[in-house]
Amino acid sequence: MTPTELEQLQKRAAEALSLRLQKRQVKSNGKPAERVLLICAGGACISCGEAPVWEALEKELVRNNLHDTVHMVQTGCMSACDMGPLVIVRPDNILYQHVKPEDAARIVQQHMLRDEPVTELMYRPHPEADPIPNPDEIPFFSKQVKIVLETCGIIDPENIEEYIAMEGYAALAKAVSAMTPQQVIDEVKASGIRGRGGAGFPTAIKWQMLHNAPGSEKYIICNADEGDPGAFMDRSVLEGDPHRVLEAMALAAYATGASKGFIYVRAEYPLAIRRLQIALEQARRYGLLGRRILGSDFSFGIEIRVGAGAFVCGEETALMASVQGRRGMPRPRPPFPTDSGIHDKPTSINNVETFASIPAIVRRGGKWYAGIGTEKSTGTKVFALAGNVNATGLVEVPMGTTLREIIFEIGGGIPGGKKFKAAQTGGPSGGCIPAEHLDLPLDFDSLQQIGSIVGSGGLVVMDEDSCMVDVAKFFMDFCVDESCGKCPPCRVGTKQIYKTLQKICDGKGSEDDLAILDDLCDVLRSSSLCGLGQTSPNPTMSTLRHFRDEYEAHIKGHKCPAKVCKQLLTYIINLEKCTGCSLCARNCPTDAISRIDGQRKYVIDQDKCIHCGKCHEVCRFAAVAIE
Amino acid sequence: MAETNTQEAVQINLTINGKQCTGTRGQTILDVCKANDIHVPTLCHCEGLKPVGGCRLCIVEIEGQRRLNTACTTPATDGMVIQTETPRLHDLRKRTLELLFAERNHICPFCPASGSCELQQSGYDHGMTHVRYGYLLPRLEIDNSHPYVALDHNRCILCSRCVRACDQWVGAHTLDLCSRGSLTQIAADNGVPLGESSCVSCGMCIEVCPTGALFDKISNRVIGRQEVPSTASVCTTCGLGCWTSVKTRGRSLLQISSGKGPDNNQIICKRGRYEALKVANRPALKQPRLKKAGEWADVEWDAFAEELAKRITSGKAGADRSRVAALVSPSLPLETIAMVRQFFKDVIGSERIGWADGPELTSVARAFGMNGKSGPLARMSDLEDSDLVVAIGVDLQQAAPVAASAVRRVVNARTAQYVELNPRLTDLSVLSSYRIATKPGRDSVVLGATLRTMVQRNLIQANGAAGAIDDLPDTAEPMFEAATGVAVEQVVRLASLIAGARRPIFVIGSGLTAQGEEAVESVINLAVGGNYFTEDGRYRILEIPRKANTAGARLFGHPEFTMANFDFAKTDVLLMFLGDDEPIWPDGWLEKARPMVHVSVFASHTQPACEIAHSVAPLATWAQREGTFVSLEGRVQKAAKLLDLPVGVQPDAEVLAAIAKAMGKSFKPDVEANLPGGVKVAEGQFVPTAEPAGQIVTCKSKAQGAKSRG
Repeated sequence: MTPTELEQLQKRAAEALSLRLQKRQVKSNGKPAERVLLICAGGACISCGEAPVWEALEKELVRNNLHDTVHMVQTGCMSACDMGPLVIVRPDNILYQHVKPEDAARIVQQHMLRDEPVTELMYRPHPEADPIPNPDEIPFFSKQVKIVLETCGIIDPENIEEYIAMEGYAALAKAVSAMTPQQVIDEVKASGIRGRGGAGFPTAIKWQMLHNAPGSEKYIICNADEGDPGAFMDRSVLEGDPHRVLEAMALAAYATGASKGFIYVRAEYPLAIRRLQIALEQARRYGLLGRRILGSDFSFGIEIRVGAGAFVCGEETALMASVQGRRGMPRPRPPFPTDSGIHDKPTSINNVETFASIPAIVRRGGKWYAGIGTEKSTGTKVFALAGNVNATGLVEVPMGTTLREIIFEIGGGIPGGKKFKAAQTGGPSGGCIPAEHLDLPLDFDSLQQIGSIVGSGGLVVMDEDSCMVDVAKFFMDFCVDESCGKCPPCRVGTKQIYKTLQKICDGKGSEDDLAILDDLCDVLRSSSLCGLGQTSPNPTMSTLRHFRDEYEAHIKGHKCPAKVCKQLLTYIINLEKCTGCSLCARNCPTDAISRIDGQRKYVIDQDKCIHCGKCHEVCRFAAVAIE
Repeated sequence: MAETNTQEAVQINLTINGKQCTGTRGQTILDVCKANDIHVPTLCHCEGLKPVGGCRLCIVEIEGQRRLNTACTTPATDGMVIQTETPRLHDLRKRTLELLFAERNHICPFCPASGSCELQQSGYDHGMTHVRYGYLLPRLEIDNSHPYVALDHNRCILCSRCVRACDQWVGAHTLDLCSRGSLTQIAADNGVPLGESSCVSCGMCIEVCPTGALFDKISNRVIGRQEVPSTASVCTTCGLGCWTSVKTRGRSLLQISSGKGPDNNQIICKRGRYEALKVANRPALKQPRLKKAGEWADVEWDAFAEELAKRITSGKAGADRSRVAALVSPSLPLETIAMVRQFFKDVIGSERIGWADGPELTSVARAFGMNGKSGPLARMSDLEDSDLVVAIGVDLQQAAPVAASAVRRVVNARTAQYVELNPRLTDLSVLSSYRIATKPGRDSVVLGATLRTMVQRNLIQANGAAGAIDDLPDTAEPMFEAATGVAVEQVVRLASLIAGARRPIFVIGSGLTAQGEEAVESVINLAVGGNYFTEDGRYRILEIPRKANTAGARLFGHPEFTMANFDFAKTDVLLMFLGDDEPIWPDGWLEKARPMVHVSVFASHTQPACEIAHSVAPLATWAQREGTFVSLEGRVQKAAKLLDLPVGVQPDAEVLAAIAKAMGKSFKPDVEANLPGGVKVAEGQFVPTAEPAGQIVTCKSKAQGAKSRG
């Protein structure tokens, strides 16, 4: 294929896609109007029942003889994960949420046949509010700026022509036909984009180093070993728009002189792997990968390498070891991968999200991209919004957007009218941000200043019911499991911190333990070999910094203010509410509950109580109080 | 690790702890520090192994760098300003050490390594008096399944030195890490007990272990904690001549370790470490014996000498001294061999001195035209730079484990392929990219046909006499496959593999060399035909000799006989001087020797030959005498005298003098005059090498008298 042929194909393909891209009201005119149903097939929607919905809709359309008039498309993630399964009807542009198979009849008969949208399935900010049919008017969508997720949720990820229709591979065509490799790097440099994998290293500098490295054998690696608990933006991109990543890798290879690429993707992402395989096969068939790409002298091939489930393999040197079939353990740098990587040859490693931003930068210019976000952190960032927040899912916003905007405007605030306590960014390598920093613009530098990081973009919201010591313990537990075991600070230090936190949660902590924690965090941060160890104390350090009073409450007052740490809770039976049903006593594993002599009331022997909470759980009269 | 670079070393200047230091480009910061006498603490670093930067003790501050870097992995660059000893670094190192001590059982009083433990020493160096963190102390099982090596995970600090030594030096890659985080452990193969694993028992893992996690079950209990000085020596269990470092106390040998060399060889093998130790410490012959009326009786030296003298001077032997013969083992030192030869010529008056060894001792010498020189053969270092190893008639792991490791290394590094010609599977067969099971004794036909195929198919430019090609065995001959057990396609495949390599090396062992001169010539023809020579003009053929001094024995010139062609009918009195190992007796050989008038065996231990002997005299073991050995490469090396002779055992010279005295003669050994001329080079140097031949030799060309070799 030549660039001209690609352009022609783009026009043809865009036409085929036109119905989907239009947003206007349509009316049945004697016969039902032509429509398209976009059905989200992202991970969350699949797990809450996308497949039966698809089947039911298909059956219903066939039954009503509409299967030629109403088209169905399985798209990638639409990002509003807690609304799933999601269906968007175009051109009407109406969003249906929580669609169940039994809703199919209504959607088809009411909407498709009679042009009457089903209001019951539309989004409402709260149960009494008016429904908002147009997704563009829902705050969750309207406040986002989509570059990485530009076509995710619109196109069929298994059809290369749909990606081409959306100007896919146009950037690659532009580069190989009209730009020198240096010009591509310069464009990326002008965009100011920094790596989205966590460290925020300027992408153009990395590429420039690989470009300048001597020799002809060079490698490009896409790091798709997304392992932060709760982060799934890379998976969504790979599942929803795999060609975007392939195109970007080819652009990187062209710019740097690499001839071979690897995508290192974790085995836990089988759908992403399958869609990548389909995409690779299609791209090769269309001459967009392989020998003499788009008729130029540039050749580039990509192979998939499936990781075996080690978090540390997200660290570039461990990843390279794993790609080469060795045990995934990091090694010190220097030498940096751009000097000595795969097979000791120069290698550049970029994250999925970084790659996914590149085609738009090359197509629309680095300047355009630099105009989005802040001065030192340009462009957009995808966050995986989760936890105690009304709307969860993927959120792509310009860098510098405040936490408040993300949580309270896009996310719709905290459910149940509870108070915001902290937001955890960057997963196990990040920190907890307290309410006082809600108006902090989220970018690489500002987060670092308050002891957290952007990281890969996990954003967990916590309300007043979260215990910060417990949160620190949770993340440290993760690091204990995921440490590779190579260097003692990380291998032993994480375990020591975990045990100390466990002690504090159990109410056995002493003031000395806080000093020990500070001390251990310092060793880990300063002495560990790789990023995993160096950043693993961040959750502990940031909670110690912002929530020291909670630690002290555990140690001095033997109380868990959020009532999470069970060992610090006291269960007491409220005699006024107790009916003497004996359910608690029968469920108590340690026989700590006995009947008060001569009364039909029960009491807990605190010496025997192991704080398991079973009595509180089983009591039907709310007679077991927690103090 | 300084890389060996052909480029000129570029000097760089650094400031370390305020001191001006110089180094060369390619060195790490640790290399420069060591060269400038600046101590940087390390645990996972081990000279000769690739650094991994794991233990975090060698962290240093580099001006302009945000993070601390490990000295062992960071390349030194010009103008670097480095601090290696700041209070901050000291404090971080100490806390890392405390974390290690808190992790597993490092309670020194109960550890075999206490006193020689690097972790313990680091603790002392950093003034560590106690551990502030909680002890984790998981209860890990001790792997005691291996006959020589014990692995106590509880004392392991996971520095991975054993893993790297097993991989980078031994090439076995038996050890690796399993699980991760605090559950990480050393594992053998896929988690099997060490004793059931692919371990080759070389014991290098023990040598590199900084703590008491891996320890030597044989030596550990005898060494104890006292500092025992080491003596440098060479290994005499095979012809490779690896260097050793030996610990002794009183009359016992405590431990043998690698002496690192020659040629940068880092290892010794199971035989060198454990079997040699066993030999030195096993019950030995203490007194001469005579067989009287079928019963053995211990006698004094005088009685032994008189009996032997009587046998030599009486009967047919007394009249014709050529009926007295000697068989000398090529595992004895050159001095002993020289003395026996002098004794035979001057005292007994017989020239019949042969080798207690197989025919390969002579076949190789003749084929290569050695004649008192060393053969123009490849050296161990040539193995390392080859891209194809063709092993013919040799089970390297059995014959010379250190050479097997060299092959494993190049195959593992994917710089070379391994091809095997052997009727039987060997330990290295799993590494082979191609193997041919030739019928025993048919290698020369297959190799000749291979050369012919290479030339006929224009795979190589035939070097040397191209006309001789037509005289080589032909795969087109009707009985070829039936005779050799090798199909034509196999020959073609072998031919293309050899021709496709740029630097093939042919490793030959007794399976081939015992077939005779012609078999050896077939390999030489391949080297000549394909022009496979080293840069300094030696054949790319590496012979693995069976005995410690096989190469040295050949320097005495072409011998008349070995055990293979020993003339029983012409012999009445046979004196056998044996080493610590046993000769490989040809079938029925001992039975044929039994009817002789008198057989006298000189050996350090009771051997099968003693059974047919009429008299037996004790000799020193390898550890009890100093001696010169010539390695397979022709390097002259000295084995040290490590132990005193036990009471009752005489030095070799005195044994011979006693016999001479009983014969009414005097014997004054003049070793210097009787050593072969070639070995009179400085210790560690190579004996002169014979010239390689320039053309292919075939039966026909030999018959025509166009003999160009030997």
